[in-house]
Amino acid sequence: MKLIINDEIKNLAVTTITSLLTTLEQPEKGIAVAVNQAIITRQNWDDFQLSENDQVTLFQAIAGG
Amino acid sequence: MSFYEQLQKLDWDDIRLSIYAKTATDVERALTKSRLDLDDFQALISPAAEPYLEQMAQRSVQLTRQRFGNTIQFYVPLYLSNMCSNICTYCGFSMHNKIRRTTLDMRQLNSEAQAIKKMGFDHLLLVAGESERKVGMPYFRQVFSELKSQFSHLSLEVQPLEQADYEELKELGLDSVLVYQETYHPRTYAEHHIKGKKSDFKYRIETPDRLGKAGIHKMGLGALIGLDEWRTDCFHVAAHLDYLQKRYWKTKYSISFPRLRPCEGAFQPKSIMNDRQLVQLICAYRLFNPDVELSLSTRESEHFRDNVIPLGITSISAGSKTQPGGYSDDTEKALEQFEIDDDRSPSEMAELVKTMGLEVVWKDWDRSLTALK
Amino acid sequence: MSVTTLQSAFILPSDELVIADKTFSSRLFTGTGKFSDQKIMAAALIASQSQLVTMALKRIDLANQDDDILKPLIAAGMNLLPNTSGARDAKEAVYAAQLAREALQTNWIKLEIHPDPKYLLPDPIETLKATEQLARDGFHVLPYIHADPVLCKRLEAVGTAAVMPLGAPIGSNKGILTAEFLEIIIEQSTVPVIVDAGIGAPSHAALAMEMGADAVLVNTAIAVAKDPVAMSQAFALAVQAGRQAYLAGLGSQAQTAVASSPLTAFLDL
Repeated sequence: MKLIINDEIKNLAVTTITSLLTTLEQPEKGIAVAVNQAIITRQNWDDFQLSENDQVTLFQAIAGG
Repeated sequence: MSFYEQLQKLDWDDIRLSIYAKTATDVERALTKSRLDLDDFQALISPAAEPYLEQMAQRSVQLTRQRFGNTIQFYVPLYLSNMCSNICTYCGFSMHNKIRRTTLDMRQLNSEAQAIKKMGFDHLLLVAGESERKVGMPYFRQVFSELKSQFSHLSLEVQPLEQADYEELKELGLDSVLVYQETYHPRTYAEHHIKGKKSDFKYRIETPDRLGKAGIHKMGLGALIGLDEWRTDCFHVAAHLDYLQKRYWKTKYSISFPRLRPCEGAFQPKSIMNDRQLVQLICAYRLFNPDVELSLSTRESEHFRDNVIPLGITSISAGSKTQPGGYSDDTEKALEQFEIDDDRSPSEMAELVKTMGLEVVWKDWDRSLTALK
Repeated sequence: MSVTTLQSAFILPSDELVIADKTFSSRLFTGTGKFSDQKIMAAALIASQSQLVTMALKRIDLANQDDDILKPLIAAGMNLLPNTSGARDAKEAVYAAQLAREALQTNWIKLEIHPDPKYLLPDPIETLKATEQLARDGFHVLPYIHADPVLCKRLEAVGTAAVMPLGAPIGSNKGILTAEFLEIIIEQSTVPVIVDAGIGAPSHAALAMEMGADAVLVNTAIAVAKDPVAMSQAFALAVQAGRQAYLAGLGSQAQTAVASSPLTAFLDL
């Protein structure tokens, strides 16, 4: 389905966050995920169902401050 | 958390030894620092500081003028009642002393208030013995509603009350509360407070915490000098002040130095503090805490007050009468709580204070600035 | 690049710093920003023996994989302190804090709210608001603020774990411009005081510690030094020296005597 990941439109055959991260080759550690501005905690990454046109934002810690 | 918990961490004997072990070097260091800590306070009240008294006095004057300007506040105590349900070995009001007991009714209260206003005072300290049943919240509510409109500043020195009581009285016009721990040594405390609610050391020592939480504008601390070793007890006052200032940072603080005098009932102080030592203590408080108010009562002699007031004192009482009804009717005498040594009138004191280059402040601040109904 | 060995014998034994649920034997906190490359950053921070390091949070760049900057730091035993840099108000800061908690699995957060992009001075009102909210939500909040003593007491009242007053504007390297106010804060505070921002040289850090600060946070001065590894060690030594001086009890400058007639002669009468 169509998803907007960090402002990029992508078409991916995934429904859960876990599968999304695997597809994008992102490590699970050190990451925070928000869907439509709402934070989804990692214990829900297998259960939460993504929907068409969802805005997904992925955050990580970087050097700064 | 209250000061009672904090007190458990202080060892009386260790502190006493530490004070007496202070050297001239410790004192000199304290005299040159701009921010003193409790360790410095110990040095300043130790015997080692005695040769430095003149220097301490000079510095005390400097700090006091800088912070308070050339002013001194005048207040007067009004004894509401000498009824008391405590037995305290050192006090004229003690329950077992056979004296005539009286509590002012509202008519008498107003007549006292009028006599006091005629003398020029606007700051009143309401004092009573500790008699919860007869002189408790219902009585205080009446008193405040009578006096609130007549005086700009009302202070209270009565039995310790609950936090909710202080909150209520604050709305009714209460500005400050004085509660002296008498002694910070629990065993000595127990020896002198034999019966009544005042024998509860913990409840009394937690009173300033309740006052801070109730948001009372100002609170007064002190030890009754002589009940136990005076240097150690006065160190505890400073430690108590230090603790309270950090937690209840919006509150103002005041310290008094009542020295034990004989009164009805044979009693001798355990530790005698002479005049020189009292001057040392006053200067030590001032150097340790440039902002705290220091108050000197009429228990001290004329000669002493004349010379010590300019050194660091910021408020004094004058023309005091320590028996209920003493202002309007001088002839009828119930027994006094303590003997007055300086019985000069307020106008005499005002003249005297002017010669010291100080201006009398009858009214410190206006209650109308706070939102009181 | 020279490597000097830190004399850990000078770290005083039971002078540990307790903040919230952690204990620190090093009072030098560090930041990860502005380094020229990540390898040098990791080397410098580890060489300083700092036990708390700050980092920011940003959206992942899917095209460019960043190296995991945290791995070497975590391996060296450093505690992570994410910050809310980029937030311009309490709402954004709270959101950033929640993301950081999720990403790094820590409820420690450094609150930084600077809506002014030029001087990066912290917004006191938004910071107080956010601290209250985050503290209620179980965070250990370390707010970056101006050296305002009253603000510090207000933050204490809403449950802050520490206060981080600035020495000078971020990145200015101007030292402890706020000394007078830091002294008041240190005197009045019942929570740890960590001087943050503006520390440009080890002497500044030593001064802050001599004044009685519980710790300092240094970032820019280490990152932009010619030899960041050596500089970070210099800072570590300075923090230790300042702390030891404070504990040893500094003497001070003599006050000028006030000449006047004797005030205590009356006692001899």
